Amino acid sequence: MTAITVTGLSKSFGGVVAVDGVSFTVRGGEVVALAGENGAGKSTIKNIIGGILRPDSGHVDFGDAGNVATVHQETSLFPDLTVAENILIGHLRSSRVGTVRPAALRRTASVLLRRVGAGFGPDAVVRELSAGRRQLVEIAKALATEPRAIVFDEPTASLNLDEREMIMRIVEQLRDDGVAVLYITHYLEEIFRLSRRIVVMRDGRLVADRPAGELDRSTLEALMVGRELAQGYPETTKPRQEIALSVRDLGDGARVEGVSFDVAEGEIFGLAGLMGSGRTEVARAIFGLAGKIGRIEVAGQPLRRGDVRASIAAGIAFVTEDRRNEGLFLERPIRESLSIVGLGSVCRPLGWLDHAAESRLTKDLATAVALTARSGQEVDGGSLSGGNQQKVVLAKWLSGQPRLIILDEPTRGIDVGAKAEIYRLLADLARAGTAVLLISSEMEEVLGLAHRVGVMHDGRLAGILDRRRATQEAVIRLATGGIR
Amino acid sequence: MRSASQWCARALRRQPLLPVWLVLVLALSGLYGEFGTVANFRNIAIQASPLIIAAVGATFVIMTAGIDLSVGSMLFLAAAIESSWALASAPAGVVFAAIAATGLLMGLVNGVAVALTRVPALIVTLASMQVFRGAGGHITGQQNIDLPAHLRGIGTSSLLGVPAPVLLAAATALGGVLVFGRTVFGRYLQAVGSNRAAALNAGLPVRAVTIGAYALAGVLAALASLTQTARLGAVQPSIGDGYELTVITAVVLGGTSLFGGRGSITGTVLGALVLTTAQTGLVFSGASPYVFDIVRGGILLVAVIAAGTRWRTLAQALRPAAVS
Repeated sequence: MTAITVTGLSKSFGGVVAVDGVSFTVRGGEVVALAGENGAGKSTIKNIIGGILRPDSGHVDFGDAGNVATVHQETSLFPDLTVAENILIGHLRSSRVGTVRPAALRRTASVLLRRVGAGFGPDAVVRELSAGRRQLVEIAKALATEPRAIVFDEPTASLNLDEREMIMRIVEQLRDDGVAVLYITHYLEEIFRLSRRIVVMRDGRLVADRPAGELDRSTLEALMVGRELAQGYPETTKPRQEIALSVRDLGDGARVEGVSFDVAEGEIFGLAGLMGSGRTEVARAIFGLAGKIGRIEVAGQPLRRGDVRASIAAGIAFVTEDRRNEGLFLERPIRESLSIVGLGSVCRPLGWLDHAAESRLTKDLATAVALTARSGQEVDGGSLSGGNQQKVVLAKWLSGQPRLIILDEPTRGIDVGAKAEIYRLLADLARAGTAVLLISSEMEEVLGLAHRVGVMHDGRLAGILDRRRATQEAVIRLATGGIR
Repeated sequence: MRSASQWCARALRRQPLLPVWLVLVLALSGLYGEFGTVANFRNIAIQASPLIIAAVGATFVIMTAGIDLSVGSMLFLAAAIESSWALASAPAGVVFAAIAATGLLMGLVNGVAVALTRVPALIVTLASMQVFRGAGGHITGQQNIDLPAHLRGIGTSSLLGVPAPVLLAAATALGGVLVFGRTVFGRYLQAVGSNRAAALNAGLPVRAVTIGAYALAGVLAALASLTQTARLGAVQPSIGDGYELTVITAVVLGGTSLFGGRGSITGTVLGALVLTTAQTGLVFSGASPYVFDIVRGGILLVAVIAAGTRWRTLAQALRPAAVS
């Protein structure tokens, strides 16, 4: 029983081929993973299957399933409506005269919420829900049409471990109910856990369609990237003696308090913890974006509180977790995003720009992060792939050697090739003496890169583990409130 | 030949308003014999001058994703103060300096209020629009006040055959282009408008940049006022009434995004020229002055819709040709 049959799909955007002759099938009761780097064409495939885009050639057939539902990566919910209204937004006209009947809505929504195991009612306003709960609402909404085929697009990208586990159980349940699932994700462990077959795309073409059992992690990565990746994490050198960052009793006046730690020059200090444990708040308080209580010293000098410009002057760089909304100038050429931090140091007197010096600067920065945007530096930031956007957001801080660089989720939603480049860059920075504060939900990369790992739990630093003692189990124990 | 067509393609892509304006001028010249004369073009240029000056200032504000509804009232308050100085028969230099200072002050009031509070620029300038106009009315007593000859100099004199208002407008436009494309301040303006959070994260002086944009707009509104009153020879209660609509229309017509981060001074100048040309054309047709409101609104709507669809595809169609 085939639920999704994709035959010879091709799609170009203004001369750029996004998808080139792709065919595959998804049967009822199986999960097929769609893997590939950013820009490989996964989103285009998803949008064609979902009916948002029309293919240039080829067609999609849903067989017995009749139609398909899509669970989107960035939730398409209305924040000010209730859960019930969101779930049934397409079916609001429940009575014959066209009025909305709230009681019926709530009843139907409750049933759907139970199916996804949601621990909250239909009356909650979506704005007040966590990212994980919103994702559950999104799934319930997709189930409202009783679909026999579902496309999941990065459903776990912004979720913590518990929530990810929950989503995967739902997917498994749907599969056991005979639903055909096409699952798109960057998380390879999810791919191997859930899928029976893996379809790999690269540069718009299908490069592999194989049973999951025939592939291992490194083979899959090689298929996605098109070359063998350097295994593991780059070598890091021993930290120096001098303390670059000293944090004492830091709080943000709200959820974080009493956080104390030091980071030495050349040290990579990982900050782990569950989503909402206060990691981001610590980073923002250090950089001056949030109010802070406590004492911060950079290279022995106390830092003015709540003053981003003073922090930058002290040599702190901050790579935000939200590159699109807080890092990039989306409708400006990427050259301008690259040079924005260093612009003051390459201009002529009286604030006149020196275009030649600026373009030398941005070329150097682009080279330093191995920016692979083929279109040069005059394209808009918004047109880059996630990996290249992240490289730009990182590169803008490299015009001077930062004393301390804080990175909040630097590899979220980017492909394995770009990830490897960013790991290499962090190791290089540390080798040159920069202190690195690395916040990440991907425990593997924290454990692979960091000299020491601080684990946050419920707004406090639950413990600091050195490399010898930092195992997945030890980190999880601290992160979930267990004792050392 | 190829480079010429390349240049044309690029110019068209960057300033799609240019051919629109040229077609408008040619069409009106064909319709009305008197339209296509040097004297009339000179008249259009003089008429467009205050609009260009004020609209360049508004472009700075709109680039930061702000808006300045008070531009017409600033024009009026500056003129009112000019009229009170006129009665005191002070030397022209002193009056002009005082007017510029008035403009700076009004702009700073707007800028500080927008930058330091969380009140939207729309509300701030809606309030200051009423305050400035009220103050101006209070000063003039809603009377027509004739300006003495030495204050009309800007309106009547010329250099090498180019009228002074046109020179002022050209200098303002050139200055605006330089600030936009050649200064750190200009770059910061565009960055703040494009993504305020990212600008804050990069350590940009976001508040100072915002205040600077409104202050510049205030000074240029005062300069526009001087140009306008000198040409009219008098300060009238109707000066600047509803002007903010024309100014913002010129800026948006010129391709500057109301959401900030995208736009150009040359576009604004072309927008002002298109509006003034259309207005002059209506005078030639003998239509009532109210028709201009209809036409202006119509032009704006058509332009914005076309910018969203037609020009983009046109530019895309031209791109391969420009490459090959």
